[in-house]
Amino acid sequence: VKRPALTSAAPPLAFEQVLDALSDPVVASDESGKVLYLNAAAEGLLGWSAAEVIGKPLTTIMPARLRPAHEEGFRRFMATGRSTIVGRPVRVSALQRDGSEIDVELTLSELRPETGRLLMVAVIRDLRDRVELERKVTAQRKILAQYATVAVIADATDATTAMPQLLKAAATALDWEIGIYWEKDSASNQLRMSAAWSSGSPLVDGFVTACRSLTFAPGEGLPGMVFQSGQADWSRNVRTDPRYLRGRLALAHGLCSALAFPVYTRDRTWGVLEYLSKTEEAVDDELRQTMTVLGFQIGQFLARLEHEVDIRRALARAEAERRNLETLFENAPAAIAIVRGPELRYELSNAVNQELAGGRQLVGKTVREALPELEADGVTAVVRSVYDTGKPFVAREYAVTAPATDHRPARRMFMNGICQPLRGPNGAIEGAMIFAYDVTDMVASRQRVEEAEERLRLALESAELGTWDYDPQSGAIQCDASFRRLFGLRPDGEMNTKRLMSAIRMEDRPGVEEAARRSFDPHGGGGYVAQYRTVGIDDGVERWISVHGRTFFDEQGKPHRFVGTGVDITREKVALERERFLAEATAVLASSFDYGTTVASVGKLAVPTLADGCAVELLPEADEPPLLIVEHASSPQAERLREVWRRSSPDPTSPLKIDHVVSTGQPTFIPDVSEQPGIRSAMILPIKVRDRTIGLLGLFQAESGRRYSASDLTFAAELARRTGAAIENARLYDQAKRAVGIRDQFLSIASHELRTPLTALTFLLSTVSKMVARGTPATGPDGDKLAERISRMRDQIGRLNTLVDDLLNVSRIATGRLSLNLEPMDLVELVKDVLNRLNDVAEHANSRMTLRAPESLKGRWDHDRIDQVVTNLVGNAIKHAAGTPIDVEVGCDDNIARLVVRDQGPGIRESDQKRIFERFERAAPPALAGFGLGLWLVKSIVDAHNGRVEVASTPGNGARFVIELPIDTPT
Amino acid sequence: MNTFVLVVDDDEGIRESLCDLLEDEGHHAVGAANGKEALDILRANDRPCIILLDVMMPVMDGPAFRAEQLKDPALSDIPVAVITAAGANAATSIQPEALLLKPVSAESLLDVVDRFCPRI
Repeated sequence: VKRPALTSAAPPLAFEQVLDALSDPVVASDESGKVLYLNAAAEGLLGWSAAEVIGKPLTTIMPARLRPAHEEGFRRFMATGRSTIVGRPVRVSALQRDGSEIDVELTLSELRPETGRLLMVAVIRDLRDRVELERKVTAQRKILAQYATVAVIADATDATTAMPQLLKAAATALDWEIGIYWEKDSASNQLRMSAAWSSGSPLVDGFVTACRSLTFAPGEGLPGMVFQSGQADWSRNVRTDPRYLRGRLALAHGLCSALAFPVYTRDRTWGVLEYLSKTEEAVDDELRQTMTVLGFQIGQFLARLEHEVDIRRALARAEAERRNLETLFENAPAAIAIVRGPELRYELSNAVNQELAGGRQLVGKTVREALPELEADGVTAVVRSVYDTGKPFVAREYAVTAPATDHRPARRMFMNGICQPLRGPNGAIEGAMIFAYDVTDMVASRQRVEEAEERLRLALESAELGTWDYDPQSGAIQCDASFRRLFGLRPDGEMNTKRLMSAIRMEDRPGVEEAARRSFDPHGGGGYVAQYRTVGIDDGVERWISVHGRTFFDEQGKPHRFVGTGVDITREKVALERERFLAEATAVLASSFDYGTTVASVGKLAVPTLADGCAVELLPEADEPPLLIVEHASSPQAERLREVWRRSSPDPTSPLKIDHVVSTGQPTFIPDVSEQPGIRSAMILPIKVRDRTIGLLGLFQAESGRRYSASDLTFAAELARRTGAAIENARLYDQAKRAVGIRDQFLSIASHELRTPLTALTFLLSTVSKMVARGTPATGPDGDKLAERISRMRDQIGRLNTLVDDLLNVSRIATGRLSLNLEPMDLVELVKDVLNRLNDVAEHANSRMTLRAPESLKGRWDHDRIDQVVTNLVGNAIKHAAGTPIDVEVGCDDNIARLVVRDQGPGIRESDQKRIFERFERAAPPALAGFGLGLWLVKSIVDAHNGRVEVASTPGNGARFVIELPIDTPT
Repeated sequence: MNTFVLVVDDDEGIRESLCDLLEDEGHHAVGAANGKEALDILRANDRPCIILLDVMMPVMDGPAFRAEQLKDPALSDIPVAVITAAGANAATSIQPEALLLKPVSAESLLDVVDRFCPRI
């Protein structure tokens, strides 16, 4: 084909031949925009033959979308000579003959050959290879950006340091100059820069500085538009884009393209990330998608951080609770210590224990290192044996050496207590708890008894003695005034042996007679020693007397004279009896770690020694029920006394003033009770624990006719004090045992649950980073694998989020922050939603779910919370009863909505049925994991709605959970 | 040359990521969701150079699996590495050849596997 000449009127020009020979494609047009020339290389590239296009408009070889811009630019150039593209390479698309587009770079120049006609000549370069290469690089960069973002998120702990890193990660991966995070300010509802990254050139930094003072309302500028629409958007050339409000600013700082995308989670847009580059960048849908995913990941990260702030608060509260527990331990009047590990290392030692240890540093050291003295006392061996065998050791009056300090010498002490094993969640022994209290004073009081006996002996020797002289043969008796007083006889009162004998207390008489018989036995030594009580013949006063005497015999061996002395030992004897009583009381009270038993033993101690009847009442405590124990020698009397106590207790006008003792903590002392039949004398004492009245001790005299004196009150107060200490010790021991158990169990479950997704994440991150390091391409099977692993990382992050949410719910409810958002809603619709959502899980577990429900059931409830309730119950049924059908039923009675979830799984033992609603409890084996919070949450939410939750189950026959909610929950 | 590794863990996330990690290193990794599945695989397949074993699992847990393994002379000398989040005490009854506490790093896990599964 003969190529038409460039200028139809003239012969071919010299440069035309040059163009023909060029290997680069060339196209030329005239000033009207018609094609004049097309060289062979151009024919080859575009597929058009010269004959087909010459004479046609240039737009013939352009895609339709470029035509208006071309015509406008061409016209302007012809009219004004100004052009944005003449003289420099431009990237455009060209239209091939077969209708497909190819990327080309063209350099446009104007030529004025001799004819004087203007020619526009374009030299074209095929960019297809380069574009393909760039596409690959871009794809690689996108993966890199995503990986870098995930890597930052995985390590980050707060947004302030993480955001610039996130901006940098994506910007450097994608080769952008600047990254800005526009965060929504909740107060002003404006977008404001909260973090930025730039490549560091001073020019570019100036742009960031200028943006710092700017704000955008939603819908305003590129950030505002993206924020409002929630869709990624970009501007290829911000200098000319009217939507881009900072065009001039960008121009001044040498910036050209901008890309913005939202940072969002499912229910919230957090802000907008904006990236700018110096060069004009094309943004394709794929990049937009990548950025949307990144925006979601960053959004989830921000949500996680916000949760973590809550978690930190929750942990702080847990820490405060732990401190409370420690305060309890610290202030306990008993020594408490926890040792862990086979080396028996102290983990906790409270103030009393520290004091015992002479103030030495114990925590962190082993028992052997910290207290070598205990080896000799055998304590170390005891703790070791508890750790090794798991058998608790109960110590009674166990002697230990408290080490010397600067202020006091080493001392011998006696302790009561228990050392018991601490077990981990799997039952293995992990340590031991030592709980002990000082009973040195009890042992000392026994010693005081012995001392008192010694004092008594001395008193006898020094006291004013009464004397007698008796002639057994005539029966005549001579006594002095002192001896008469011992029997309550007036100096002039009639006196004979019969009368004296009648003054001796009936129960003491056999002893006296036996002592006299032995003294009259000629084969014995004639000695006579006795102690007995007399009741004054003339004054009615009871006395303790002690007598020493001797019988003298005649030659026939018959007793002919019986002489001796007597002394009043009442004071010493009573003191001794009381001391003995208290020593016994302390021992009995300390013999049990169960406070019910402790309380019962007080009554048994008091009757009949101290009282004819006794009542011990424990006031109701937060987690302890009230307790009343009445003791009396005869049971009908005990019943009568119980009735009197019950009636008087709340009655402020009662002579016993029980009410008054509770409110003031002061005892009532009524030596003569007149208004209360059946009671002669009474004392009511408060039982106190660290100045708080926790109970009452009532002591009564009735049929014995005895009457309380002021010294009895002091004595009874001491008994009440020891009772209080014993009850406190028993309770404290119980609390300490429970608290340690709950804390350890929860910590181990929580750490197990959190470690599982973390482990999976660690492995995934390792494989993904190795793939990226190897330069794994984005496409093909390896690219798919990479994408799949990143998606699995996202699943594990989701799992962590769920666990964190669970913990959050616990802390909200535990601190009373569960507020309901009541709104009219349809329970049936909600249940259907939940069942739909769980359908996949149920199918996976091979469980068929059926729903029996009316068309709708409307009421006022908190939609999201009730959703949690239903999800938990149905989810539990699927989890614990996999493979069996699950029936859900919704119904209504009067004003009560009812939801029933029934499964046919293994069921729940009766003993577990109440427990499963407690925090951190579960009936299932540990392998069916979770925090054990689900049912507790269900109960808390239902309770908050004033509803009820019940479970009925027989093991082996499935479980049936019933929730009842008032249709209109009162606010 | 034997690079067959058996991974026994009830958690799908851990099982799959662990298998990926091992496969990427050139091992042939097979997962089992509990001790019983693991025994079925062991009896139907080649002998692994190591078994990576979780402790708490439904159906048959780690200690029960170990007891069964030791009873079977064909399986008893296959080394076992316990991977657990429950602390070192959890593995006392298993007496494993190696113990890894979750969260375990990929490096230390691969170290253990390399020790028992030398590649030529």
